Amino acid sequence: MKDPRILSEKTTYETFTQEEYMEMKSDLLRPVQTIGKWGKIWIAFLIMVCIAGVVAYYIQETRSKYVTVSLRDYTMWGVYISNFVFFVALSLIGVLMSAVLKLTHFEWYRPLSRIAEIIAVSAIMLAGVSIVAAMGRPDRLHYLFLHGRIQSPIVWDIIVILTYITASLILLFIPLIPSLSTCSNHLHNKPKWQMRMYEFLSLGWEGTPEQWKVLKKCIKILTVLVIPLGVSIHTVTAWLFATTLRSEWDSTNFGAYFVSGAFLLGVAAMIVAVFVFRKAYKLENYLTPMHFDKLGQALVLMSCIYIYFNVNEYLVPAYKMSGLHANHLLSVFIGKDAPLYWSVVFFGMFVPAILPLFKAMRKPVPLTVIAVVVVIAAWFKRYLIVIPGLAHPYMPIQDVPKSWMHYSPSLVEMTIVSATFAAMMLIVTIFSRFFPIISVWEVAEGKLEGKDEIINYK
Amino acid sequence: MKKSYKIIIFALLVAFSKIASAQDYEASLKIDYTTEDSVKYCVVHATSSDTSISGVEVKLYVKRLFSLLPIGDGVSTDEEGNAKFEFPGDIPADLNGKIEVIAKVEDDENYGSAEVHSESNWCVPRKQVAELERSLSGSRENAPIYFIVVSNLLLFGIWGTIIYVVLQLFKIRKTSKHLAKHK
Repeated sequence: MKDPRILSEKTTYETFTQEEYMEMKSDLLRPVQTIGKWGKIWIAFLIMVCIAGVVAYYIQETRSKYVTVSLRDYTMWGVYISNFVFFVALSLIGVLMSAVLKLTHFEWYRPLSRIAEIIAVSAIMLAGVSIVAAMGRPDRLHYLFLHGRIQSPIVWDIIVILTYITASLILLFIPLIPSLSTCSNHLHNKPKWQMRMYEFLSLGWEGTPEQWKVLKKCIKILTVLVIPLGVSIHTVTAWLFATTLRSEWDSTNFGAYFVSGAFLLGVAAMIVAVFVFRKAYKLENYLTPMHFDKLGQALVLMSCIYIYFNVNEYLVPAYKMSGLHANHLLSVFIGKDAPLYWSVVFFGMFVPAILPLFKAMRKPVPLTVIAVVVVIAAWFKRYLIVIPGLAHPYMPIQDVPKSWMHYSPSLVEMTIVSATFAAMMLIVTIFSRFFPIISVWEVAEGKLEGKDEIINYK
Repeated sequence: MKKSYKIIIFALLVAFSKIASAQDYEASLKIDYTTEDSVKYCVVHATSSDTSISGVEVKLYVKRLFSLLPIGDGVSTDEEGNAKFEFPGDIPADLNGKIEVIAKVEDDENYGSAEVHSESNWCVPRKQVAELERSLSGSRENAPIYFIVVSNLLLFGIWGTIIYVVLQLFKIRKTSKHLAKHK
């Protein structure tokens, strides 16, 4: 006997070509229905890297941190903090690729929104993990809540991260409700617990006009809310630096500088994710060359904005070359950090600002190559923001140990950082194996309303 | 040669007798507090075998968290065995609300070393935390009022909206049950 909800669901789409709709459903549910050999190998690989990270963290916490990590009195914030900044930046992908496009009626957001939201949720979770890894005394984490001062940017950061995780999770969940009902009705040969999970999480979704009204209203409220939240989270992260008494971070430009960098990273990460999902899950009909073309254009725009903020951030202090700030600037312009700095400027800003101007470069493969380069450069950009300046403290010490002067992350640190990346990708992969990574109803709704821009180039 | 031996032996005897004589006398100190014309004085009285001793240099300190704070330079005791120090009135109190005054005789050739500790109320009381000014750099309890109000308004506004959205979701569930009842 057929579930009555299937019938009611069908009537919801009575104006839609049934055949097309069913085909779309089966296309988008395919990755959930079956996991191939390579999919399993990929998941196993990610789990192994995560386990290596857990072991490395155990070693870090049980042995002397002076031996296991390279952090010293000068460079007290190392690769964990730069990784944290990277993940926070990445989490803004949800704001740009889902919320902003949705509110500004760029209809091509529809197949992308869920990909962006799950990346945002996983990135912000791993940002939290990176912070805990960086803590000298993680057992005192709860002191932040017990003794934290509301005036402290660290407390603002904790508050805004928790709020953003909550809002992003709900924003991920709400548009998923009709999809959960679809999963419950159309998936077969799945374990009972999985089907029960769909049933439970779909909140008894029947697709009635009243339910649609509530759903749309909730999505709209959260979409509006998540934009200032996302901007706040990265601005507060920037303030963690800007309010610290270090010459190289003395900047009124830092919040906007961080947010613009995050938007560039978000677009680049989106291109990579779209390419991977398109190929791995055979979603070429939904993630089309048009999306790459639009994302390529967005990449150029975001690069230009980021270059503008970088000019502000580096050119004005370089003109003045004052005091201790000069040490840092000379170190990155012509000193030992110069090769990394200029590589980041070239690959992380000028390449994405210029190459996608050519239409041929906005095709899926070349654009993805550019995007991968941008993502790597973005990670090193955060490294350059956090680490080199710390080698020039306000109060230099005589006869300082050599290990204080230079920082290069230890094996333990790099293993933990690798594990955070693996964990982020694992969350996204597992999610896409349990839930449709493209929102069936959102794509269908767009097509229903004649918004061909969703998947076709116009 | 013999003469030089004699000189060395004589010198050793003199030195030994000096040491022996230093160990023979022990000084004891006592601190008194007086106020003259609203100026506070700390008087250290030095005695040895109940006899006042003069010409002994006394130093006065106040104990702070990590080390001793010297109060002026050292003062030699007069004929009555008193060393008088003008005491500052602006020393902050310690955790107990008082200060610990320490008088010392250090390596005197006749009396060796001696010290005495005394507790005094001549200090500026510690400000209670609540009395401190509210500021951004203040403690948890002293956050500026405007800051507390604005941050709480933001927090309640945002979390209120999130809670409202979650409550709306229950509506979806409720309407579903409602339909089920009518089927």
